[in-house]
Amino acid sequence: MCESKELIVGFLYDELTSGERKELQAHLAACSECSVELEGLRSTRTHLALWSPPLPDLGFRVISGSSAPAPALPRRTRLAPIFAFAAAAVVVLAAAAAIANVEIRYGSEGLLVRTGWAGQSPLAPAQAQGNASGGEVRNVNAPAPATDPAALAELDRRLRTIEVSMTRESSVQLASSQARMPDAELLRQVRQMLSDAQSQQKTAFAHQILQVVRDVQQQHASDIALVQQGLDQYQGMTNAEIAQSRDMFNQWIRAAARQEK
Amino acid sequence: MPSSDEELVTLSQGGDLDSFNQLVLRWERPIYALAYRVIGREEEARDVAQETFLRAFRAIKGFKGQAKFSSWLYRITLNLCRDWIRKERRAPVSQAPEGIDIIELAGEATPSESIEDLVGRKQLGLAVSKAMALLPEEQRTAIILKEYHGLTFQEIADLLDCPLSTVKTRLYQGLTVVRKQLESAGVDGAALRR
Repeated sequence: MCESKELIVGFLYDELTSGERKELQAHLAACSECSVELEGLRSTRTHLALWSPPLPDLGFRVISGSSAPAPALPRRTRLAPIFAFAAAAVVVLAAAAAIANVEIRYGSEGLLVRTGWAGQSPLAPAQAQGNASGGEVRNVNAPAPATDPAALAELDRRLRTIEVSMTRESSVQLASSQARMPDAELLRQVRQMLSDAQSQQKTAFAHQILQVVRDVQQQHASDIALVQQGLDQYQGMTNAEIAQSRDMFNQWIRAAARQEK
Repeated sequence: MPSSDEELVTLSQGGDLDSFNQLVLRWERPIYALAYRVIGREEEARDVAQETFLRAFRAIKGFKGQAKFSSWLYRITLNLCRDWIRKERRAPVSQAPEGIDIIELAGEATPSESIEDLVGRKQLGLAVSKAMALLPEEQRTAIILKEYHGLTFQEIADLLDCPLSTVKTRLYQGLTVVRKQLESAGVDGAALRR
């Protein structure tokens, strides 16, 4: 191989001066080894063109917060504060829902919190207000609300604390369209978690009801067996009495027959 | 009418967030592609690309325009890739798909290209990525910047802080190794003409 590697590379990428080009072309005409080498590298370049990176939906954008520099947190934590906030909110709300069976709705009317087993009622806040003025529909089977207003206030305070701390941590956020969770999506996931918690509670309640029914059925079967046994005894006693009566009647007949003789 | 990088940089330095986001939109794919080819991992490449724009945003006021904005981004990206490789003590990998989805490929086929040709092309691309993963970082980076980003020898030399002749040598050596690797894998020029 000749000492013309740099010229061959320059020729390959068309970055030679006209003088260098003429020099190399003259060399290639006389050196078959360099000609083969150049052809091989051209072929390699053709192959390299086949290597394509994946095409993910990036959608990066910079979101400006305060001007203070961001703390040196791990990257994933820094770039996804909404995920962290959502996770914290879901954990706290799910725990509260598990205790008090809380239903939370957030709409144009603001935040609505309902408790108890009346969660099936899909009343919107406006409808709920209408019912309150014109006669509220209640589930009579629903137990009294188990939520302490003080506990709710504490829950709200803790959520706000988390939100404020997360906001401070993210002075500048770079989020992709996939990494940033819209509020509607966040709300949907919180609702889903609450719904799941309610479903779990209701499933447990259904299991308990089913167990009670089974117990009643077992007791019923046991009672029937006892009654049957009592009837059998009664039947047995009656037969004995009949036999005794028959014997007495027979004896009376025999006695009467003897008197006639 | 789209603005030039220089105009958008000037507006960004004045605090115009939208202008910076236009730069992000313009350069996110090349930056991601650079990171992906250097690192070889999709998720990590995405993280590197995100971090690149985050750092660029923080430092945009200090950007003097001595180099092109894209070169500045490339430098940030390569530094992050280098940090990742050193921190993880890992060589770049060639991420092979679990299998070739024929239906997905059918959507990519050009009207004159058969499915068999397309499958062959995908397999050749995978062979190239494996061959590239075997190169030393310097050679791989030089080839990536030249082949896929079209930088001149001088721009690569400036970016990598090395002499012009070193860039050419790295390119030559890297291409030669890739060529031999492909040949040993049974790939030759005829594969493309089939």
